[in-house]
Amino acid sequence: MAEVKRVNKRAFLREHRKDGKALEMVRIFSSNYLAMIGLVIFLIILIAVIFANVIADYNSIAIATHPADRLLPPSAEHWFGTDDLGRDVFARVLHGSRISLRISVGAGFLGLFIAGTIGSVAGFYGGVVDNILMRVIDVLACVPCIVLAIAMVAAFGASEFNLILAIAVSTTVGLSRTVRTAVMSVRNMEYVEAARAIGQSTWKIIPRHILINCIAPIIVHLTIIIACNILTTAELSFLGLGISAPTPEWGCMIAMARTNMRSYPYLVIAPGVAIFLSAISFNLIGDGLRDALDPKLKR
Amino acid sequence: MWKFVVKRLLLTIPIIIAVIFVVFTLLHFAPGDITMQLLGTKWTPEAAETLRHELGIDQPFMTQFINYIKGIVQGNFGISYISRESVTNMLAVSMPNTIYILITSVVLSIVISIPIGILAALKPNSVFSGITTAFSLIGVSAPSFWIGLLLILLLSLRLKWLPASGLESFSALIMPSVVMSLSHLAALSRTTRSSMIESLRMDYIRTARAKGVKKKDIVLKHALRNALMPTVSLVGFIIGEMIGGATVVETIFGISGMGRLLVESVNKRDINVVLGCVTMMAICVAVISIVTDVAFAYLDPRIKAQYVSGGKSNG
Repeated sequence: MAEVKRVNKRAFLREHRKDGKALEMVRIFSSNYLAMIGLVIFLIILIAVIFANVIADYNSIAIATHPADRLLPPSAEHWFGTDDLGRDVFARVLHGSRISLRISVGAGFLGLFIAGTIGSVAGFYGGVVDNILMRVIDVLACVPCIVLAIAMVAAFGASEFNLILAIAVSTTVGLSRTVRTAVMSVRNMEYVEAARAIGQSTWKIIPRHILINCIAPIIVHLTIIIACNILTTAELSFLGLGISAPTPEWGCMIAMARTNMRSYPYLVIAPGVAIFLSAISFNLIGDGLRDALDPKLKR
Repeated sequence: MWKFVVKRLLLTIPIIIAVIFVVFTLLHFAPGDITMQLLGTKWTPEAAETLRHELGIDQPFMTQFINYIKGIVQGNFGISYISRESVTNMLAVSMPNTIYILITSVVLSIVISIPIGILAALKPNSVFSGITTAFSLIGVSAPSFWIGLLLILLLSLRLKWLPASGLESFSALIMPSVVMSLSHLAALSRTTRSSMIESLRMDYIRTARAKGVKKKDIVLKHALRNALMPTVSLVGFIIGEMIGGATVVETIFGISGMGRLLVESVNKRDINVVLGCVTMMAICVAVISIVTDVAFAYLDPRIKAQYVSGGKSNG
């Protein structure tokens, strides 16, 4: 008898299964054509990141100089032409995607970790703790993002890790305010009280019950921050404060190509388009996620 | 009203000092010996010691910091380690150029984006909404230095319409201002649009329409003034970001402003000039946020009422 009942229950569930929240989100996201364009661009960039070495070898094509092939115009052999040292621009743009994504996504997550800690502690405890942490953020807010990053690069020197750290810290201001607001909106919910009543420690309550329930605005903000980080990385390298030659970083490539810009505009255009496309893909995905994850956030 | 301004000013001072402290500490404990870089091959322990004494960096950290703050209060930002020029002079020369571009960029972005925002709010689903969306995507995703270079390529090098660098004529201001405002147009028009839509739904708009006020007056007098609040606070924030953007724009267009000074001194590792630039920028941002708050109080009588001498009189 019991056996029959259980089978029936399973069958019942299978028949009456409702689309879960996740599926609903996927549906909203995939019906947003701008978000899908963003996703397609992102997948193309991802392919470039993964197969960069297969398509064009880093050491022999992207870095090695070929004086005989200087400043060739775009052709079937060199899709985006060659630069002033005879390096294939297509290969360099391809490898640039690795560096750019590594730094901007790395800085995004590091920034999220720093800002998540500050924001959730400030939002959860409130009172004096909140006041102190937010005054610290106010101090950082007085310095424009990129200037803060420049100051940190000036202090620590420009290596890849320092760049990630500098960009991450420069994004904490906005991100920690977002996290704080989100945490404050859920910290007085009944399930938090329930968790505390059964004796869970604060350090378990914050990630398990609070952060997980305000993940929507945080993910949306993170995607847009990564788009911003792509631009900041390129900007810093363009100014000579980030990744330097001969590494094929997009901003650095544009800075190098600037002197020959008049006669060889494609040297400036190709890496710029790459920056633009990667930034726009994250922005489009971010907008799509905002609509899908939390309809309340919709503009 | 003045009480409010003075109170805000006094509250800003500790924040500025904290900013200076953070940047000062950061640069003070930076790895690398400044004397080695300055003396080069002539480096000896004695020469380094004399140089340290000369530059005042042989004192303990806190003494140096307090001296620096004292100097700033008197308008003295110290001297450049490399050119031995007064940092105050360097800032005084470069700041006006930055301010010129800032003013034109702010005016340009306001003049373009607020009308677009209003029109997009009045006619949702019209071509203006499409324009704002397209603008926001391009403006937010295109690297400003790249757009700047493309503009130079097209308008200066090919068509020869505008000068590629310098600030000699008004036409030289056009491209830097466009590049500077491009990435902020989107946010500004979007905010104006959404707050305008919200304020057009209010009851007082219906009342105004019911009593027969002209549509133009409803939009410009009744709705706009209330809708401007979020826009004003955003403009304050944007000016701050533009000061940061000046680093890139001034470098591309060869304008000797504060941003370019910062970039060049970081590249030369001229610590005192870096410190002076960042401090000055932070002061600018703080002043702008005070101006924004005052504008807020001016626009919103409710906020003003909180600060006007405790309700005794409306002085």
